[in-house]
Amino acid sequence: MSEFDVVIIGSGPAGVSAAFPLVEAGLRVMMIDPDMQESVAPPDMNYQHMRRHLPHQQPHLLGKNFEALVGDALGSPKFRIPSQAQILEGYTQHYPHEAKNFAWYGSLKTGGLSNSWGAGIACFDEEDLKDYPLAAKELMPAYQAIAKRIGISGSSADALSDFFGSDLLLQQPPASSELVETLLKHPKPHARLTLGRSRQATITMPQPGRKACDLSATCMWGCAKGAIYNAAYEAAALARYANFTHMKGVMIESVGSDERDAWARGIWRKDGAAFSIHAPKLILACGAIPSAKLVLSALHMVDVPVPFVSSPSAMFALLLPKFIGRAMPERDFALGQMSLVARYAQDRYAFGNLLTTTGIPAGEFVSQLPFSRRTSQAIARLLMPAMLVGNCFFPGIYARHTLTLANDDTLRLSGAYDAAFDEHFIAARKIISRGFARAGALMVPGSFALSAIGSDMHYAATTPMRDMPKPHETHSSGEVAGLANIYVADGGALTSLPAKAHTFTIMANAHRIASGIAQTFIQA
Amino acid sequence: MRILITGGTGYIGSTLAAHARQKGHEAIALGREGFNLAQPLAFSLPAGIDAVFHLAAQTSHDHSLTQAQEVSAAQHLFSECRAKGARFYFISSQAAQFDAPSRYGKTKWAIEQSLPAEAVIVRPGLVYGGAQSGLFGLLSRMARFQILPMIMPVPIVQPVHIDDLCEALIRILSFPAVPSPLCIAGEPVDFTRLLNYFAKQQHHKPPLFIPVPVWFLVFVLKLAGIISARFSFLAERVASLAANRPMKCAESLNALSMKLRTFLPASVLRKALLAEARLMLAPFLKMHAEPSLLARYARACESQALQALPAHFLNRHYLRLHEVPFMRSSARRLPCNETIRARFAIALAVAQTSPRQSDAFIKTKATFLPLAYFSLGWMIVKEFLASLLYGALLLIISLFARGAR
Repeated sequence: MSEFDVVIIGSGPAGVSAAFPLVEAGLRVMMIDPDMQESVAPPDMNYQHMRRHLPHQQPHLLGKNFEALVGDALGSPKFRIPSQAQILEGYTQHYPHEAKNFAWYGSLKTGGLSNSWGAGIACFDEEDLKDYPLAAKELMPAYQAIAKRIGISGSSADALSDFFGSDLLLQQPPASSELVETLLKHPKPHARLTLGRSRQATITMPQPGRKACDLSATCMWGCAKGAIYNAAYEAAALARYANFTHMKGVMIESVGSDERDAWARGIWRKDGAAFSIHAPKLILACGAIPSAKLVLSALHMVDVPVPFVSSPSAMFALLLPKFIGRAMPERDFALGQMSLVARYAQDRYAFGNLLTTTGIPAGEFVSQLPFSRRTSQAIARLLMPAMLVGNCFFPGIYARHTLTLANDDTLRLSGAYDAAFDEHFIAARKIISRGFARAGALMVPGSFALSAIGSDMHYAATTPMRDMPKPHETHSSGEVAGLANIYVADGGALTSLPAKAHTFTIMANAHRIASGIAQTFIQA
Repeated sequence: MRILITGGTGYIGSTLAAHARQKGHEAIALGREGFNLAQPLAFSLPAGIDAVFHLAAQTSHDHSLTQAQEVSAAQHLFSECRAKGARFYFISSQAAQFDAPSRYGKTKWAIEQSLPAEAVIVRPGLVYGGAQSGLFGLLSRMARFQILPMIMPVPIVQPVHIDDLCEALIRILSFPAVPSPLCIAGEPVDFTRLLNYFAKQQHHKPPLFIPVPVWFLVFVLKLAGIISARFSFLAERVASLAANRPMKCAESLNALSMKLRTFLPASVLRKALLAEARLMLAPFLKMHAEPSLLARYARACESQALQALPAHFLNRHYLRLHEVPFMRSSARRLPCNETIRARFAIALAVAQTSPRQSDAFIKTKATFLPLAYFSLGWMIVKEFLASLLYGALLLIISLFARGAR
């Protein structure tokens, strides 16, 4: 007999969301992650105060060992923040892989990628779930339970409330900037563009162990107040249960199962010693790509290309001419303050968030401008307070990515988009820039650019849930076809990927799957 | 130990013999009379020799030897060593490449290829110090001139002091197994800085450097080669210098537990970086850069193993040419363009860590709207006028720089 009922691999949003229903049902749960790094504390003051008064800024802006200079090649400005670089550090090096036209990121830290996410929240509706072997109402109780647990802020009565999902307990959104308020006066500036407040896993009311958002604008560094949800907080909360064990520093390398038992084997990262555990049920929640790798190797599916998806994404910048000359606000919320939905084709929409520039180091703008250094800097300084930056996601339906486990345990990732994507991308860009122009914000020329494939980090559908799953795919219960007692509860289990933020759905699905597992134990 | 050195009267050979004797070895230094590359078969290795350093090579402009002769000489020497139980060390060169532009580099490559794995190959960097002979002698004599060419693009060399090289060669004797090829060379230094250093060693006045594209210099020297073979030999040397490929030496030096002296002391390198920092940071700041910021820039460069740009590029106007809007592709033809653009990025990242100068990046006071528009317009007009001037200059220079790469 194992001393655990369920073993969960991974401690990100999926892992902790799967753990709660099991632990609360009284089952003995072990959660495993490879974390063994020291965390860099985020600055505990507002951004502008830090920039103007903190004597030693190098650790926050450049990194003790100048990490920010090395991270320069990786698209998003986020990666140039030293503490962010440290979150992603070493991840892909741990997986022997070859990537073709595909950028792959992840984190070995407890909390996984929620250490560096944009905290966007959305419920999938019937339209989003049309490929799933699930109905929207099956996820609703899970959405509600998680919303209650983690705390969500947003508006329940604007043009996007229904899009994000109603019937959730919502806190007041963080105070938004004047620029955002101006744009929100026209929630429908174009027949196909809808604007509304963002829905955020950021709390504006204190919670045990977490303070409310105080608009420090240091969101990109990680929130010193703990206002932005991070699965690591919940790993700490779970540790208070006697029937929960958190095993840190273990890298799982293989899994297997039979009719009664499932097992996982790996190594301790600190000394390479072997690690092995077995339990009646095993939940994979270590990310769509690593989970799929474990499944494929357990099924001996070598050299079989498996399709998966990610969201094509773009970044852009808006300028609000009537705000030129304003000063930079001292306090601001530096993640998504408002969101957009652009319905660019039949049954297709793009989703985006707009951020103010308050918490973004000015160098990011200076280096983008085409002028000489001195002029670029002066112009960036003048225009930044009148600018918003946006990201924009497209549905995963365009992805033609494949993942192959090679004979020598190497993972081959290859990325591509469907030929139809270019046309749709241009259509969406046109709607967004026209819509904003009518609302009083100009798209900065040349700024709406497609990001590298995979850099959106929305990896999904590697082991999709289906009514009739083929081997490596999963049943709607989360159980892998061909691997009894092994479940996938992360993004890999999503059947398809709409453009809207998907993390909340991964969490809800993990919660639903784990509740189902808890039921089987209770019945037994 | 009893060691035998071919080319024992040459620049490295004679110093090596002296070093070996000082360390208590018995060294036999053979000149052309003792071991002739043209008649290798006449040579028979004396009994009781423990190791042979093969340094003899054709280094002058009279092409009396063929490559095949040099290869067979090395092979004969190696088989003598194998037959008589002596270890064999072949002193090759950083220039040894199959596609080396010089006969010297091609020959070294051919010999390396012809030797079996038991023979140890040593590749030194650019050897300097001691008596002014060999390539070092040539460069030292050159450095006496008041006007010198600055070869474009600037070749990067890895100098190694002759005493360090000889020390390393003697040390090899006490290691039965060493990685081969053994690369013995110091940190990369740009060639102009090296010449400048040699010049300063001789007369304390820095020479005037005139930029000359390498293709042009090679062309002129080849033309002059009609008059004297000496010049075509020099043309090969210059081409070979420009084609120099960097060597990674850490592993070799670790194997011998050697630490080489630095060509330029760390303080000199730091000083050069600080001077560069002042110039690079200035456009991003409203006041003079504080010393801590200059030091941070220097440390940022050092953390990436970057040395200061060649001093001749540290000119405000030259840097300005690299940032003319919409002319980045023309600027790419300028020497050091990529390096300079990378330094701009470092300078920007460093400049924004200064709390004292945060005002240069963050607008904390509002400006009246029409005034803000006016200053935006004024900035663009100024930029436009400056771009006309620098753009024209850039066009002219880039026409000449064509083919430099």
